[in-house]
Amino acid sequence: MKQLTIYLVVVLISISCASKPEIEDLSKQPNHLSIASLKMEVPENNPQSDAKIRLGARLFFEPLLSRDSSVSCGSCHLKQYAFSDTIAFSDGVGDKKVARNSPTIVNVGFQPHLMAEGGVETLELQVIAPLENEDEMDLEVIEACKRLNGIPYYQSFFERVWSDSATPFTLTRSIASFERSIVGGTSSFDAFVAGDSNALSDNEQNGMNLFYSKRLGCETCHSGPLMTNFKIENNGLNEEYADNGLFRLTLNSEDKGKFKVPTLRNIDQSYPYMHDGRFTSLGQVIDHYSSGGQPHPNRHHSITGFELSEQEKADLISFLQSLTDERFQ
Amino acid sequence: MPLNLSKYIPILILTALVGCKGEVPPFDLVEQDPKVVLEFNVVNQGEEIGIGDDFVDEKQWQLNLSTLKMYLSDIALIEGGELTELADVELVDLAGSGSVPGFSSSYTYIIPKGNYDQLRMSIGLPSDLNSTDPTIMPASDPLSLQSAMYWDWATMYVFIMMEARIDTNSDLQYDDNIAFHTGLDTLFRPEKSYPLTLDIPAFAKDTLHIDIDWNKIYHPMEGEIIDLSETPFFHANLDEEALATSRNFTDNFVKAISIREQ
Repeated sequence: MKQLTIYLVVVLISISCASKPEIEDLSKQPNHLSIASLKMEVPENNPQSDAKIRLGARLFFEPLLSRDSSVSCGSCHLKQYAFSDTIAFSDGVGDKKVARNSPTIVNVGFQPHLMAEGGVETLELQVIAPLENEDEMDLEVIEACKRLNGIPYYQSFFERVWSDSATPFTLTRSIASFERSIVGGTSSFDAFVAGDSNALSDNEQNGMNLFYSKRLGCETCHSGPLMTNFKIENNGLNEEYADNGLFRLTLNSEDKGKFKVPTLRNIDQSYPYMHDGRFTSLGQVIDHYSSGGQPHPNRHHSITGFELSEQEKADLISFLQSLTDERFQ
Repeated sequence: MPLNLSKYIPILILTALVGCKGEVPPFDLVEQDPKVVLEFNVVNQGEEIGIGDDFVDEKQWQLNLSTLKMYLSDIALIEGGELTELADVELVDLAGSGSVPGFSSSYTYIIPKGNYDQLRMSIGLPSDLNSTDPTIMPASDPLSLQSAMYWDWATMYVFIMMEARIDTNSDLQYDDNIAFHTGLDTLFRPEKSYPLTLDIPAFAKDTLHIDIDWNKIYHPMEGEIIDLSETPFFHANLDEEALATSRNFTDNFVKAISIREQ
């Protein structure tokens, strides 16, 4: 409670001293933006435990879970890049490439739905997707379990954690538990939100003010502690889409080109950007939104373009860089 | 000498049972009830086609059938409007147990004797079953991952998976694949009824051949023709054109089913 009071005092002081009248609703920012305020939903049949998280971590980095034992979950989700990859399309088994850019999975346990079109509702079920996808790990979960059950190390590990062997149930739940343990909240921005007014430089604070301004409207979609409203939107990347996103699920033409609004947490580490990794820098992303994007009937109404000076653009990038967790770089 | 009633208890029970004759269950319900076998086949011009068989269809395409798997749900026999439910869901796999242990091209059910006039079944899975978590299902369950029919990216099931190799340039070599994988709730076709005459007495065993006519799927007299020369490979719901083909395939598939009694 005391900490909350400090937050509010800091915010009230910030408001009273604000030289940026375009910030509309900063009074609700502290709790609104604190990752600590989020409650992670954990399925009843998969409570977290240290041993299970360790098993899940081991499995996450286990290349045996791919057809030719060449790649693991960790091959496309590199810890030092906030559990994302640095190339547009990661390498899958053989000489294949995955179909979409690998997103960060930091804070993924807070997400209400997964995959770029949001078609998977639990981490447990999401585990199956890359394992069985023929461009990614290309190994049926049943076969993955057989492999693991043939290895004494995993036999005993699964027995210890689950009192059972590797099964589709225990395998998916173990990896999901590990993924739920990957939580951020250690960035400069988090320190600022927690009350350390010196945690962000002047340039970063200017960038923050721009980010939350009506002029840019970033918060329309990138809201809340994770800087996403988790909605599935068309952000005007194309006039015609090779990958139709949500349409694959709904078959509704109004859903063409719609993809999940990504978190901006650790955005500096999780380049390249967009579902197809077309932008390699934050500057290019800002240029896209500044231009208003491509005309498409489904393009989100808020993407209309804006003008930024070079300094403002640099400040905005500085702010986005302040969202990087120390432990994931 | 006091009367010892305890030694008469078995006699009393037996007498009571005989006295309640109308409520005593039949001696052997399982043995006397008939059995019906649903056996699924793909047919081409009246001939059954098995997995791996070469055949030439009505449009002279040289083909080799590689896969037919499908989910059926709410399977029931109907006698004068009265339903006898056979199964909630089955995975039909023409490759039988050689492909997926526990899943088959034929299923046997014990039914009451009767004179059935329809087989009713839904093609695909209703939305509540389509959203099943496959990881919690036992391996022998048709909805487990063992089925290899789960669309993991969308957390739903493929309803029909039909694959074949095709010779597209008549050089007697298979040079391409046809792969129809249809799913999604919108492609669920509920409660389709197929007429039959199944007069099955006690102790009998009868087989219903569920024929799926290849030519009625792809070259139907009624319905949308699926041009194999323009659709050499297809995977469901990637775009509107593919979706339209998928709908045509599903609707044709439903009409291509007929029942042949042995």
